[in-house]
Amino acid sequence: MWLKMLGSLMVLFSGTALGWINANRYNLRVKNLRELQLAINLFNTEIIYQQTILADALKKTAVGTEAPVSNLFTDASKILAAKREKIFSDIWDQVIKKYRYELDLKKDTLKVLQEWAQQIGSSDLTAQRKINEMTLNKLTACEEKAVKAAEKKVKLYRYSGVLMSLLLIILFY
Amino acid sequence: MEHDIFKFIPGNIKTLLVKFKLETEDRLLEIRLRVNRPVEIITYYNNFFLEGINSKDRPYIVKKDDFKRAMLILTDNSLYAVERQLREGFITVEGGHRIGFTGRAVINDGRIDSIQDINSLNYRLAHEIIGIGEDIINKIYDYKNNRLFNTLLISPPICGKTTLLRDLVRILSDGNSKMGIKGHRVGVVDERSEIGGACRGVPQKNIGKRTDLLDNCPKDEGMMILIRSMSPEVIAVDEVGKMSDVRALTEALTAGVSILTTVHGYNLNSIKLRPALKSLLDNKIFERFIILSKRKGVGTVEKILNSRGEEVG
Repeated sequence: MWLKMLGSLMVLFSGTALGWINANRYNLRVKNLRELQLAINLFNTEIIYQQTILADALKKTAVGTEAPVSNLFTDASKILAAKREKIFSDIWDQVIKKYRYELDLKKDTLKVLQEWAQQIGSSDLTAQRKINEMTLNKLTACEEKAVKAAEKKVKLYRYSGVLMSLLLIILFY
Repeated sequence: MEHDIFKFIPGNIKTLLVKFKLETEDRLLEIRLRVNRPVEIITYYNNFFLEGINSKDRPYIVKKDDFKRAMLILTDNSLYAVERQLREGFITVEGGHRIGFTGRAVINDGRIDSIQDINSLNYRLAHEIIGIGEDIINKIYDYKNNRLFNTLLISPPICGKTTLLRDLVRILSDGNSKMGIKGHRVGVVDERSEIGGACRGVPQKNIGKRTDLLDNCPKDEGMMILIRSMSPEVIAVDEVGKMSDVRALTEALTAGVSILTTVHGYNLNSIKLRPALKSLLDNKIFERFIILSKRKGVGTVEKILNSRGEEVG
């Protein structure tokens, strides 16, 4: 009897935890998207008003943001400073690949980030400002989508975690 | 010691230069890369094309990809940060080295907007020779009034104008008790970062203890800023030539500041042909002219003239 009770509790705990973990991914995605927008804003300020070179602008952006977004900028800055002959978009693709699972971003957001990297550093200030503004608009749209998805899915996953584990317990009994 | 300019040269070519031990060659003046042509090396004594990596190989031919890589290094992947320099056809890198380039000019409203499709790069090494100004400082210094005579250095390119200017700035700034020169507040407007060789605003060359450096700043505006805010006794600028530079120089002179500057030319007569300088010469603003050449090697002082064009003994 005690063993059954313990098993049921374990199933309930794991099911609920799974539900919470899955629900939390949606919240984290929104958080990361907001952090990315903050990063692009900081980066834009660095290059437009300070004309800071790319490696330094990335480094300063990393300081003003939180992980995992800051990791993207820190790593890209380090690689760029060490390998000056490398094209920035290649470096960016490399770091995005490294942090893809931590960032947990959708394909459309990754595409926005890749398009941004392809144009950064290779044109004049006016063009750079436009690219950053356009990227910010696209990220805002991604965030809106992510917020809507979170509103729908967070409660669903949390409740379904509890309910599915309860269902399993009933079936075992 | 390896020249610091080597870190701005793309990998393939750098390997060749290292192979031929050019990275430590003191007398290196220029390294010229031209697309689909061999690498040209210019030293104090001669010029030659670089051989291939093996002696049996033909000379290394510079590829389009070498240029792409060179531009990535030179601009630090940040074209926006060197926009103005790209318009003017050169980039100055750490250490004050100037990299000139040619390519396809993009014209906007009748003016050069930028230079694209770079087809030629000229790495010009900046040299710092401490003490070269000591031989001539006494001829351009007014011991009676403890001030520098307004001085113009005249020479064709690659004759050591900037190197001499830098050393004169250092001497005037530090002062030299043996020569009876007191230390002066010197303001330097370094439009192309060649005098101070500044990296992120910090001078890498010895320009003296009392020198205030305004780096990467247009000469005319820079001189006005210095006069208003730093009360210099001497203002040093490289390569004057525009009307706006002349207006700022006149402003500085009326503020009682001594001027030390340079101009491209062969002699006094050749610079008289330049409209912007005509008024300064007619009004005998400059009290000393230093004429440089390469006759006995870079930095040969041919003559030092006074405002009447007479040689100073």
